[in-house]
Amino acid sequence: MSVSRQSSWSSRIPRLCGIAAGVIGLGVMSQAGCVDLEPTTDIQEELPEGDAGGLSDECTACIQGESGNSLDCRDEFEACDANSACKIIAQCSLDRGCFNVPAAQQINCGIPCGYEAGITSLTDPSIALVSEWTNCIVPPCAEVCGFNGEVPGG
Amino acid sequence: MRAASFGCVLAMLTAFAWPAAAQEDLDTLLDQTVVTAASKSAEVSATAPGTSTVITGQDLKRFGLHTLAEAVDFLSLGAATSGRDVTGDKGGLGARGVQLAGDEGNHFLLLVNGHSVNEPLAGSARFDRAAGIPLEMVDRIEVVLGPGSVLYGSNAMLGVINVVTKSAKDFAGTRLVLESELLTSVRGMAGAGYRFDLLGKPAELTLGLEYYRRFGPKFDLDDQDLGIDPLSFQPTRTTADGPATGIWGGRISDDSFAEAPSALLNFRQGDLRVSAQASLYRAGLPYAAADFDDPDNEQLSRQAWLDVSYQTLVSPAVELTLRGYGDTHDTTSQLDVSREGLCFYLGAETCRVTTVGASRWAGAEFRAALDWFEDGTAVTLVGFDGQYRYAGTKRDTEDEATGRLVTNSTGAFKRNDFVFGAYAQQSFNPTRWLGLNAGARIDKDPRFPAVVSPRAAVSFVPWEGGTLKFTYAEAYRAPSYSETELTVGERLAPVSLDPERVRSFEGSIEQRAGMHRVRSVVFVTRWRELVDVRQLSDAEAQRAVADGRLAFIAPQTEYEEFRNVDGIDNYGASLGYDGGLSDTGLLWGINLTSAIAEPDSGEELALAPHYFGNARVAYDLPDDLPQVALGAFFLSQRLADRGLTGGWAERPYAPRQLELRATVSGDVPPVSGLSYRVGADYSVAKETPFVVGPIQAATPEQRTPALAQTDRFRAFIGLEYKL
Repeated sequence: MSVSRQSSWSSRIPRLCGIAAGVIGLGVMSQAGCVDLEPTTDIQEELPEGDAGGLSDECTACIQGESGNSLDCRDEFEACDANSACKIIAQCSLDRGCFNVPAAQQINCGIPCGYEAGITSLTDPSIALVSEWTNCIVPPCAEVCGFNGEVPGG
Repeated sequence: MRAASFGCVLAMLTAFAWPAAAQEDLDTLLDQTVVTAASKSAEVSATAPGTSTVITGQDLKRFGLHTLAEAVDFLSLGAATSGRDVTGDKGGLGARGVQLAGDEGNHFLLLVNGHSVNEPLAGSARFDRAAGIPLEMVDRIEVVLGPGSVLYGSNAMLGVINVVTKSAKDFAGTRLVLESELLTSVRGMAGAGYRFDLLGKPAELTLGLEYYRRFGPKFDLDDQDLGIDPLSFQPTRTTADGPATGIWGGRISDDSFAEAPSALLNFRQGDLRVSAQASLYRAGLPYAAADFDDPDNEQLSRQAWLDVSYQTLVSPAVELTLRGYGDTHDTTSQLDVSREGLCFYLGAETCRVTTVGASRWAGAEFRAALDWFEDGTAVTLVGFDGQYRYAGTKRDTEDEATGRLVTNSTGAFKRNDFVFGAYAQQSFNPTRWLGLNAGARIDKDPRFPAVVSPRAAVSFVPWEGGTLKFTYAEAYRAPSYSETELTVGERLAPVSLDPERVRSFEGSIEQRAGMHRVRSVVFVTRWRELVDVRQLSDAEAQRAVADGRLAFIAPQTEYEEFRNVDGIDNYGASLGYDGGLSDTGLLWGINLTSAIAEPDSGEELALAPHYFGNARVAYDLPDDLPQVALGAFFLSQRLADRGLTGGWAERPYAPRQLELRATVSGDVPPVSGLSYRVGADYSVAKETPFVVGPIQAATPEQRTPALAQTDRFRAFIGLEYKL
């Protein structure tokens, strides 16, 4: 009796394995068709933007390191002004009012400016230049320019 | 490594070869190894074009081998990986001192029962657990070194590896296998082979179902100092939850895992053969430039294929083969990144970057063999292979916390192509001491001009047991679709890219005497048109803008693209010896290769060992006592893959590697049908030559790289129960 039971199991197990293999195989194959390669193209990136308003002459002089409390920032301004990408980012950031928003959002605010300047890498030297300039001018020019006075990491 | 068994030789010769071959002295044949991959027909390896090693299923069990890569390392002549790392991935496969950075099996063609599994998106083939082949089903692994495009087309630059599975007769019954690398992995396999009548005709089916899961090992990586993040001006974040420390490194415990279910099936009835495989491989990515030890960093690869062939003798002189096949392969990698410099989207503290790639291809091959004199002395083989391919990829970035896409897809492309190949081969064996073989294949891919791959071989049997052989062959590798189509970040898709080419001349001498075989191979190889990444000059970047490949030139930004670059001169020699004492159960063998690979640049070739090889000894103890085997695999020092480009304080090298494996196997006497295999593996070196982690080039804070780690000791135990 036990022999026939073992024989019965022996004959069934290969078929059970076959069915299981087939099911798993078909499952994997059917899943393979589910990969979606259609690119997403309609995402509108949500980026913060401040109220830029207009820059007063006093503010303009301050952010250029020519007057007020930012007199020590003249070198930073000239270095940025001499770099085409940095110049674009700086002007764009001012236009978007990026220094009016909290420090944590200033980077996100400035991202379109990076795109506008053609920056594709954060190792681009213009990033360092614009950072040195903003770190230098934002706190001292906060009052005359209406900045909130914070800088990332400051 | 031993000569093929009587049944194996006879079955292969009657199944594939010609009457004259079957009439050869069987005593001689019993001492010979037989390969089918070199010429798409069964032939004695000593006279087959190229250099062949045949690894039997018995060898795999005897020496405690778990993957194709381990089999190649421990038992083959002239081929080797870069050494095992903790993930079990051997990082591609090289041969004769050439191993190319970024290679993922692209320069070897991997066949399973003659079906090519290299996928066209990346050109890769896996030889580790991801191959999804239950090794208990393997009858033999044929490793044929030397250019092999003459019959197979793209990828066969270093050689062809053909995995041949067992027939139902050799895999009869039902078996269950449970194996574990202690504290690291478990593997279960159920397999069966049986013969039956279907519609009144005899048929046979073999199948295997395997599940592998690795849950370790834990290991340590040296700290990498990423410094201050350029956006946040705070220490760089390297984890989603922990404090921003700027340090990537420490103990890997959560992201060291893998699982791999797979199924392999073969069916045969008369002239009809059907093979199918489906497998899945999911594994952590502990070395990725992403959050450290994040268990959500993983890759998922899936592949499935079906191959149906009909082979028939329409007359004593003409054999026709018609084959149809279809494959699908896709890979998804998912990386969590918390570095502000890489994840700067509003509201997203951690970005999940998902890269999806897929390729599907289907084709048909027609092959005709004409035996002019019906005695095997002159056989013409012609074939045509047409294939339709689809490949595509994209990369998405989402907020890890919410799943919301934060930006549009990048690196997206889809492409369809029809590729075509035609080949012809003539073999001529006018006497017992002379064999000639010549052929060529032409391949047409719309991405580059047609490629012709010729091969010619001549063999002499000047004295009893001796064989002299000379082979000239060329091969190519079609650039992968990732190389020709992908534009992502600062990498541009190239305007055009030619296939990589290789030509090789080799001479060999082999002497057999009883169970002893000594062979020596000398090879000279020239590689050209190799594909690698190069930076664009300012003028080239301006042309890219004019051509519309680049929207604008960002200041101080280096753009790059894949190009055909340097060639390599490669030469060297291999020496192999297999021996044994008949009636004692004692076997041994050793393979050594010394090779030089000199790029045109004059620099050292990364990853390339100057010498490597293996040695082994096995002893079948008498009566019911077990079989004992010891294997060794060794590699010389290798320059790390980023050794030349990283700007490191000192060029990083992986140290010499010696891997030792001892295995004991045998039956469990009280239980009929139950057998065991236990063993241990020890690795002398603790690193492999791959730079890992986010720092791939020297920084002011980090002047030395981190290399992939090897777990130095593993023990394993397995049980097999045959019902």
